[in-house]
Amino acid sequence: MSAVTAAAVAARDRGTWRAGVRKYAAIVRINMQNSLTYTWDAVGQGVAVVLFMFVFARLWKTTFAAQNATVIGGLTLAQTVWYFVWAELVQLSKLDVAQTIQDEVKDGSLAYTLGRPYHYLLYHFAFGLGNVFMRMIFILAFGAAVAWIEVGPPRFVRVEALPAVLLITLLAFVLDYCIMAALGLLAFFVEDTSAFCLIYQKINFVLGGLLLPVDFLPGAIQTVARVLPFNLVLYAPSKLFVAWNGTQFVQMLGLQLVWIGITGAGLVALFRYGARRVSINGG
Amino acid sequence: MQRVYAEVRFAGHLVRLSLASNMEYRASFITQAVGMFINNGIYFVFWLLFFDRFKEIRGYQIEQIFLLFAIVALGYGLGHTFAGNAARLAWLIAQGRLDYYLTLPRPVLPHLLFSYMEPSAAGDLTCGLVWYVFTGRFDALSILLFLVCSVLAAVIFMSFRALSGCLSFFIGNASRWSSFLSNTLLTFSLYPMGLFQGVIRLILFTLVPAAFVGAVPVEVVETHSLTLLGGIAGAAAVSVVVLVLVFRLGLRRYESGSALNVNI
Repeated sequence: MSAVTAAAVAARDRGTWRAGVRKYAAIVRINMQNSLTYTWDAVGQGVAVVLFMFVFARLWKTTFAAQNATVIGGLTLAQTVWYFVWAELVQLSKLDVAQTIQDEVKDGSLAYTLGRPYHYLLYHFAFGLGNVFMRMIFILAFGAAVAWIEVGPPRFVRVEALPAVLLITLLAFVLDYCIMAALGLLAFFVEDTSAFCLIYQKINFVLGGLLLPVDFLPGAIQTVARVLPFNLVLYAPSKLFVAWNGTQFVQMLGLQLVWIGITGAGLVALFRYGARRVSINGG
Repeated sequence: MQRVYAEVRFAGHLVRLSLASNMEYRASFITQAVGMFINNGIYFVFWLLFFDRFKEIRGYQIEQIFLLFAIVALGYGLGHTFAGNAARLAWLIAQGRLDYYLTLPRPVLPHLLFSYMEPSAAGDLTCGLVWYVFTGRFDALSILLFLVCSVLAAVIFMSFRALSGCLSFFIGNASRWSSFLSNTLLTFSLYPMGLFQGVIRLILFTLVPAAFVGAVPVEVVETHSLTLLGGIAGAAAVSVVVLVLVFRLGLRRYESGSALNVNI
């Protein structure tokens, strides 16, 4: 498309949802290009996942052997180890926006972005999403390599179900973003939100299924964990990756949409309340 | 001997100053410390759930895990309370911020390390003590060994952290690598050593001395073995010596930054 035609299309679509999509897609694309410049950062995260995967693989191999079990909580050893590959993939590559938003609230730079022709929250989502893909490639490559060496290839993965797994993974990123951005916006009320982020991270570790698949939790705790949104960030995509189940997919998708609606509404309300409190001084 | 005493007193002054500095932002200090305490507590829930279901793994039951976490948390907390700058060393070197310490008539390394207190470390300290209570070991010798092991673990933690920070002397800004290496030490120290065999086990007793901050101290407190305690003390001494040698070597390559820094 020539520059003139593109400009004509942009002028025709101005203010429509198509123009909005193009705008945020451009932000995603630009940050994907930026992330190519920092390939070594992504490699570094890939190296980090080797550490975690190695420890998890050893822990669960020893546990399965000690229990003399082939299946625990409905998962075999190989499924359990590959479950952690996907869980680490989501955990290490998801949009980590809380710190950025907190800093922008604290130093006032948020005020300068309010007048720009994009929505602050959508901009940060698109910006973060652009950085995700490169990280995902390396984390998946390194994590899969460790799992392959420790327990062999993932023969149980249903290739035809992967698009659905990717959809659940994308929605997991959206849900996590709503929660993390809301935590960052708490900087309107408290000086430092890092403690809240740490607590959220650790809740994800336990009730979200990063350290222990939700199926392994005791009955009552498992029931609570399945109702809360945390398992929809890590457990849902990871479980579907290693043990595809159409009924479970529909349930998880429905729950994800409900929780995205709830947390998204809370996030927007928090942002509007905070934006009203922003005062801009010259300087 | 008088010189050593003077340096210890100086380090004490630095720690008091850091504490006073943190107290200026009391609400933030308390929030971070309480946040870290809750953070550690939630993480520990994983092991409670794990042992609720699986009871034992390679000789470790929940009692040993309480002791392991108590020693690691207290050691980590002590290290980051008294020598918090070890965690920032890679960044300080890369930013050329050693100039301030180089111009003063005090040994650079201890002055540098003891000049910052990590506020959240108070949460780790508290966790360590609380977890020890759950071990049920209240005899004087066990408590003494627990405290001595935690102090030695703190020395190893911070020497290793600072040593990884020294990478900045050689490869530029090594903040990420420093952080990754110390996370490696911390991660491995929080798991029963029986999970790891062969070369990995050898590494955990040498290059990444996780065994000396976790599993070996647990055995010392359980068996009251003074031989093993001597082993931990030896590992701590070696880690300090290696740190001093590498820091001196790196300092020769240090290039001052042009930035003006104000230390208040």
